[in-house]
Amino acid sequence: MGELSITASSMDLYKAKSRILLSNLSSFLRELVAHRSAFLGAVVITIFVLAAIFAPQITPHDPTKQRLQLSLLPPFWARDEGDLARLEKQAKREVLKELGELIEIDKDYLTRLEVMSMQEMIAELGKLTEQGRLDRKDLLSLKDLGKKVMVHPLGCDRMGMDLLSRVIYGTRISLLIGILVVGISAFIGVVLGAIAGYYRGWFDNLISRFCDLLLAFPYLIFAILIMVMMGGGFMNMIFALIFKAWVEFFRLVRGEFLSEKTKEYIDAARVAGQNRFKIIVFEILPNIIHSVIVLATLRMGYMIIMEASLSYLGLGVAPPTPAWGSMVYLGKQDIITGIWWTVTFPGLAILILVLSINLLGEGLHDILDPRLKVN
Amino acid sequence: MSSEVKAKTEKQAKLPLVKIEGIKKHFIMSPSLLARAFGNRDIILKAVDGVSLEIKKDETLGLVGESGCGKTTLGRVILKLYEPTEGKIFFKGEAINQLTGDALMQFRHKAQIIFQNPYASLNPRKTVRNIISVPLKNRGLMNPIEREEEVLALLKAVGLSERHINSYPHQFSGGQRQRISIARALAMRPKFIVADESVSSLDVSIQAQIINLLEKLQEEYRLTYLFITHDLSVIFYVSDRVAVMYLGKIVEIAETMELFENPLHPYTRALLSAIPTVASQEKKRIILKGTVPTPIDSTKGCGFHTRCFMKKGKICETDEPVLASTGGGHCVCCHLFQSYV
Amino acid sequence: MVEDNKLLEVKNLTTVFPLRRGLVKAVDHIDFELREGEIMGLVGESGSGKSVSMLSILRLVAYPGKTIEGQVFFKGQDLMQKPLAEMRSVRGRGIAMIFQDPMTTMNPVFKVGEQVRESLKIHRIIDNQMGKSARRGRKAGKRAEKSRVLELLDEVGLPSPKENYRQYPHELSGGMQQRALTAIALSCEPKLLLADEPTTALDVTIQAQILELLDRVTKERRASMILVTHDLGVAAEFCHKIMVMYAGKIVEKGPTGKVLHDPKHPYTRGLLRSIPLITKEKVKIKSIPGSVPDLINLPHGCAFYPRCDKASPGCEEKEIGLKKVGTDHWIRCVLNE
Repeated sequence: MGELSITASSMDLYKAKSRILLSNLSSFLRELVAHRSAFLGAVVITIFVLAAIFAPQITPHDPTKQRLQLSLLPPFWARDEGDLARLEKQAKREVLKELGELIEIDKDYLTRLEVMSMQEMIAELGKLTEQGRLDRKDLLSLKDLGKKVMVHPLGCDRMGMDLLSRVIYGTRISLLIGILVVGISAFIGVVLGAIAGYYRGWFDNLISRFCDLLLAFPYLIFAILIMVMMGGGFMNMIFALIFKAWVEFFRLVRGEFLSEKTKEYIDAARVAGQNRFKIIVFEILPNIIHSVIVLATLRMGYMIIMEASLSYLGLGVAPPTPAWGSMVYLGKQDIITGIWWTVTFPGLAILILVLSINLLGEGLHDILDPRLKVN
Repeated sequence: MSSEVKAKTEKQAKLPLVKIEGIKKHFIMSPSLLARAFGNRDIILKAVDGVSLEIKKDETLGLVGESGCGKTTLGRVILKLYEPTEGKIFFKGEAINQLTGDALMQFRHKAQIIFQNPYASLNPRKTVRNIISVPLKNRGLMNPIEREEEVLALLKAVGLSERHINSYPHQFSGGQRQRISIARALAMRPKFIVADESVSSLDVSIQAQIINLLEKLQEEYRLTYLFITHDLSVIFYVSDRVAVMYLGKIVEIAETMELFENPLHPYTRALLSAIPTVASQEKKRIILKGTVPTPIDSTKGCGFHTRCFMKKGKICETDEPVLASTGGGHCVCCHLFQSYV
Repeated sequence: MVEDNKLLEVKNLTTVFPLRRGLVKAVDHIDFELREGEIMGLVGESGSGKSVSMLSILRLVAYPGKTIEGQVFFKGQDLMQKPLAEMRSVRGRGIAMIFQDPMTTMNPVFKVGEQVRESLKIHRIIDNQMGKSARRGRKAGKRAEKSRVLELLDEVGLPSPKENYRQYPHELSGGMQQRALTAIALSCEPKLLLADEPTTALDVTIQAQILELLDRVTKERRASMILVTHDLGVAAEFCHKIMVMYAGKIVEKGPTGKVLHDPKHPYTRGLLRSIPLITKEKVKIKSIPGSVPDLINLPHGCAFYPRCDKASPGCEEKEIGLKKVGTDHWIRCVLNE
C-alpha cells in the first residue's frame, strides 16, 4: 500500500489509485485462475472469441461458397474412395477454371488435362511455366488453390459449403447475438430496476406489473410469436430476444436496490450531502453490479441457445448465412440417411461454447460474491 | 462587522444550537389491497409522539431509552433523514423544516451522524479515501490533492494510520471502522453530531477508546453531541444532561448527576435500578412487570401506566401528563409531580 | 479421583479451527471446575473463545472446528470419551444450553409449546415418569407432556401460559422468547446450565427480569450455571466465581469479589478501568490501547503482551502457566504480587 507524506503530490495520488486498481484486478485474476472450472470456461471462451475475430484469417474457405460437387462430403477420417475421387475432381476443375482465366488454352488441351490426376496436372503446369506460358507465381497460386480445395477437415454440408469455415464464422453470429442481447437487456433492466427499486411508487408498480405480464409467457414461445409477426432475420431476432430478457435484470436489480437501500451507508451518504442520482450510481450500483455480471454471463449461454432454437425452427438467421442454429436446421434431414456431420459439428460448437459460458458464470458467482462477505 | 450582523451573531450565541418543538413522527403501515378488503385499516406507528427539546452549544445531551422508544427515529428526524409528521426544528435559530437544495447542503455541513453498526455504515465497495472524499467533495473541495491532504489529516485526528487510506472496510476491525465513520462525520466540519448508539456494538475496551476519542474531538473542534444509547453507564459518563424516552415521549430530563441521584419518574427509577453494577453495595432492584407496549397500541393517558408501580390513581389512565419543570432544569412528565391549579 | 460434589471438571480443553490462512486456537488449554449450585461467570470480549468453550463442552463445535485435546468430567464421566450417540442423552438432559439471540434460536415455524414439548419427547421424560409398564397409550402421554409444558411456561414467568403455548416465536417479545428458551432448557431438569450471553440482545429492564429468573431457577434446582457475558456488571451481580478469557486462554479466575475488586491480571484491570462507573465523582475511563490480536498463528508467550502496560521482555517468549495468587485465585502472568 502506498505510503504518502502529509503533503501529497498529484503523481503520488495517481500512483496510489492505480496501484489499488491493479491490485484489485490482479487478485480477481488470481482467484479466477485458482477456480478450475471457471478458468477452463474462460480459456475456451477466449479461444472462441479469437476464432470469431480472426475468422477470415483462419478459415480455409468462404463459408458461403457452394461446391455442389462436394455435397455431403464426410469429415477427413470418414472418407471412402468415392469421396476422395470427388475431392480431386473438384480440385482439378477449379484449378483448370482458374487457369483458363489466366492464359489461353485450347479445348483439346483442356480435355487432356482434365483426365490427368492432380499430380500429373501440376507437373504439366510446371512444363507450361518452363515454356514461359505461365508465370511462376501463378503456378504457385494454382498449386495452392488445388491444395486448398482439398482441405475440408469436417466435411461439407448438402450445398457443398465447408463445415469448418461455417462453424467458425458461426461463432461470430452467436457471440454477437449473445453480447448484444445481453448487453442491451442488462442495460435496460439495470436502469429501470434502479429507478423502480429506489423510488418505488407508481413507476415501480407499473413496470413490475408489466413484467408479470411478460413472464406469463414461456420465453421461446414468446420469441417465436414476435418473429412470426415481424418476420425473420438478424435484427428482428435480437429485438425478439431482448423483449423479454430485460425482465430478469430488472427484477434482480430492483430486489437488490430494495435491500441495499435499507443499509446504513446509504443514510450516511445522504447525510454527507449526496444527491439521489449520485447515491444510485456511485453508492448502490457498485455493490450490486457483481450479481448483474454473473446473471449476464449465464444469460449469454441461454441467448445462444435461443438463437440456435429460433434458427432451427426456420425463423432467425436465413441460410446461407452461417449460424449454428440454421446449420442444424439445414442438416436435420440428413441424419436419417446416416449423414451425421452436418448437424453434429454445429451442435458441438453450441454445446462447448454454452457450457464454457456457464462454467465461467458460475465461477464468477463464487468468486465475486463471497469475497464481499468477508468480515 | 456591521451592527446588523453583530446583533445577529450575538442573538445566535444565546440561542440553543438545536431546538425542536412538538416533533411527531408517525409511520403509516398500509395493509395490502386484499387485507383492506377484509377490513384491515392503516396501522399508525407513533415512533415519536410529541417531543420538544433544546440542545445547547458545546454540550452533550444524552438520550436514553429502551428499544422501541423512538430515540433513533428522533435522531434521524433532527438530521432530516426523515421528514417529521408534525413539529418544527430550529438550527442556530433558523427553521430548517423547509430547506432544500443549497440551503439543505449548508445544514448538512453543520449537522452529522455516526451510526451504530460499524459494518453496515461504510460502503463495502469503496476505499477509505473514497468514503471520506464524498463529504469533502460536497463541501466544495474539488482539488484532489487538497482532498487527499484533508483525508490524511482526518485519519490522523481519529487515530488511524495514513496507510489505511487505500484499504477497504472489510479489512478493518469494528473499532477501526467506527473511527472511519467519525472521520467521515468530521469531514463536513460540523458543529453538531448525533452519535446513534455509536459504541453499543463494540467490545468494552474498544468502547472506551471510542468514547475517549469522541471526548477529545469535542474539545478540539468544539462540537455539540446528541448521544443516543441504551447503556446507562455510558450515558452517565459522556452526558452533561440526560433525557429519558419512553414510547415516543420524553418522560424526564435533567442534568446528569441530578438525574442519577434524584430520579423522579417511575420509569427512570426502574431503569436506573436495573443496571447491573460492579459496585459492591447491595441494591434494591425494581423489577418492572410486563413488557413494553408497542408504539402501535394507542393507550389513553400516560403511556407507562400499564407497568407503573407508583401510579397516582385513575388520572394516570385517562389524562396524558405533560413535561413540566420541577426546578433547576429538571423536568418530569408524570402526574405525581405536576401541580394542578 | 473426582470429588463428590464437583459437577463439572474441565482439564486442558483445546479447540482449534484449521482455516486456509492458518490455525486458529479458539480455546487453548482451559481448565476449571464447578461445584453443585455454583454460578460461574465466563467473561471475555470478541475472540476470547468463551462461546466456543461452551460448545466444546457439549461437543457441538461446527466443522472445521475440532476439539483436539482435553477432558470434560461431568458427574465423573469424561464427555470427550463418550460415543456421540450417548452425548445426545447428555445434551438437554444433563447439560442444557441457552443461546444469545432467542429469535434465531427458536424455530420460527413451530409453536412455542411444541418446541418445549420436543425436548420432553426426545428425552422421554414423561415416559420414564409414567413407567414403561403403564401402557396407558399415547393420548395420556400427550396430555401429561402438555401439562408439564404449561407448568414450565408458568415457572419461567410467561404471563399466560395457555395462550403462549399456542403462539409462534415471533409473536412474543424478546424477553418472553428468552423465557421460553429457558423453559426448553429446564424441561429435562439439567444439572448444568450453559447460558451464552442470554441477555445481550435484550433491554436493560428485561435483562434484569431474565437474570433474576435464571438466578431463581438455578437456586431452586440446586443446579449449576456458567454464564457467558461480556458485561462485568452482570457477572458481578450473579456469579460466585469469575473466569476471564483472552485470545482463547484463561488469564484470570477466582471468586467474584476478588477478581473484580482486586484483579491481578493487567487485562482484567484494564477491562475494569474501561467501564464507565456511576459514582459521585466522575472517574475517567482508561482504554486498553490496541485491539484483540488476530487469532491466526498467535505468537508464543503472552497474547496480551502488545497491549500490556506492565509488560516486560520476558513476557514475549515463554509460555506462561496459571499461577496461584490467592485462595482459588489464579492468573496467567509473570507478575507475582
